[in-house]
Amino acid sequence: MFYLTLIVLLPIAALILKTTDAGFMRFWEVVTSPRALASFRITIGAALMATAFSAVYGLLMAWILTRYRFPGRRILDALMDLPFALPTSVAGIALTALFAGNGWFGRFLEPAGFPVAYSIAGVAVAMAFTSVPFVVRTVQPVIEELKPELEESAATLGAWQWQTFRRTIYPAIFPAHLAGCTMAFSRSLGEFGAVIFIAGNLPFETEIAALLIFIRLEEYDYPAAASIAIVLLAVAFVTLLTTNAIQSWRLRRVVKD
Amino acid sequence: MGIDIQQLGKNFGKQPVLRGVDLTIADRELVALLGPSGSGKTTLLRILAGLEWPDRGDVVVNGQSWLNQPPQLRKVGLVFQHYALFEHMTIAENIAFGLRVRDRKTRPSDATIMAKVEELLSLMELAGLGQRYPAQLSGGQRQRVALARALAIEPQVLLLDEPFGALDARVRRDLRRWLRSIHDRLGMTTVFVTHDQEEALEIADRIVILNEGQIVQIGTPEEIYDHPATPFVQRFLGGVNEIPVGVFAGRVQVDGIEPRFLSSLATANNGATLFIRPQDIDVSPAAADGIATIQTVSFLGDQARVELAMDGDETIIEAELNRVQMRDDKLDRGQRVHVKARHGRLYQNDVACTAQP
Repeated sequence: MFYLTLIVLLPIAALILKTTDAGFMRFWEVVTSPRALASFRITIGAALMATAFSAVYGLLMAWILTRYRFPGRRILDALMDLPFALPTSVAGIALTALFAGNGWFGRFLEPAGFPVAYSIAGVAVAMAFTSVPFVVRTVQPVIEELKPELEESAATLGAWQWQTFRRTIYPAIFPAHLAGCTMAFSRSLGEFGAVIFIAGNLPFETEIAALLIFIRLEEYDYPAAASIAIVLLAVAFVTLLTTNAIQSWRLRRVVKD
Repeated sequence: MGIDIQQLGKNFGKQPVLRGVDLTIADRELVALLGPSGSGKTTLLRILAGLEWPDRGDVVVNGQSWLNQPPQLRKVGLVFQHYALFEHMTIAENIAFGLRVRDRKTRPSDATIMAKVEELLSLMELAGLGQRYPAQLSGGQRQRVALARALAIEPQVLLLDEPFGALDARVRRDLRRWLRSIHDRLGMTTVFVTHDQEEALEIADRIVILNEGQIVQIGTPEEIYDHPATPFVQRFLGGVNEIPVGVFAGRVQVDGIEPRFLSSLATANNGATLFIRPQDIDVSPAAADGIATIQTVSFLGDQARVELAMDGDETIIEAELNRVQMRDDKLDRGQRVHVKARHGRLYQNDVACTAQP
């Protein structure tokens, strides 16, 4: 409890205090300023895109890693953690190099009309890169624990593969998948290092909220920085609460009362 | 529907698990596949279910090979030891699963499905539990749900893999009898795997005993119990005394036991093993002229299991005695006794010679 207070609650309290310093009117003015609103839109939009990608790709990777045995599986398994281990700025530089107009991917994507670097897509790519392990690592153990008998029962009852997945497997891994996606989304909201290199950081276009906080800090405008931070915090908090509510609703149905 | 299993063989890697199994299962028969773990019984069942494919041989049903049919098309009901229920679905949804996954053309209407579920719930004595979740039921109830789910698709063949293995003794006994009555009522072919000989003897029409991927003996429970084909079967049926004996001039030599039932045998002078069930041994009190001493007495209810230490080589022989009789005869630990065998079987080179008085 003491550590929780020290590590989590104290900084949040400080944040709120800093904001209230300036009063509600100032807070409202800061968070509804066009530049701040644009940054929220970009951050949340890109985070949603990144989460959607992570949700599908992460589930797929978790499935492949648990259900198939192939040469290099263990290496691929280890690589899944790379985004956790890699400094995010390194990831950002690497992604920028790949997706810039003269990079390996960018040179094909840009002429095809999909500019990634210096666009909101780039922001989403950076966010997805750093958040995909959350999905893989929360879903993987649950898939591992699924009993083969469940699928075998479904098969003898006449269910084909897709029906078996949709009706029996996915519902069983859904809580873990939801938790993984929530973490991926929250992480994406706050991602800074990986994003700023690839985003180009044009206000109203590719400037994320975390960067705006940084800019306000640089300007010694602490209340403004704190105000924007509070909004990010609130979004993350609401996301977590919603997820927990969905999960406990499901748990109530499944677990013995 | 009858099932014709022909020369079935399967290896897991280099390890053979089935080595040429031939078995014909008649329509509406209840067959038990009995054997120790690793005997191939579960693999055989999984091949019937379509979850495993053999390397050699064939499974023929209604004159057609089943091996090119996926499990989805075989219409078999499958029940696992650990129920394998869908935990996120209610009991009713679990039971309805096999009907709901059918394609639009063959899927019954919602009302028909609901009616079917209700019918199965009451058949399984689960009425009123349809809206519960599996986690809210006891093991015995869950296994009945698993059975109801399997029966919902009106299978021609019901397959059960150690269905009562995870349940406690009393529930297991009830469910066993209940399975027999369901089988008789619904008139399907049932194959169940078990390593519990009591279970097999109690409910099966025929028992197939497997060992190391081969069928050792097929027969009705009476045939198997009264005429075990090999020492393996004899041992597997449980609790039996094995006494090494010598045969000289057609007579079995056993110190003191007086196996008079083995009057003469047309066997060469050779070693053999005499199998005597504990129930087939008579013990009577003796003075100094006894041939054994009661070493331990353990309580079994009406009966008691008595360990007898034979004089000479101190072979231990187990006998099951009536406790009233024991009290009348003042049989207790340390008592010197006479020992007589009423019935036994002699095996030589894996050939059985029935021996009865």
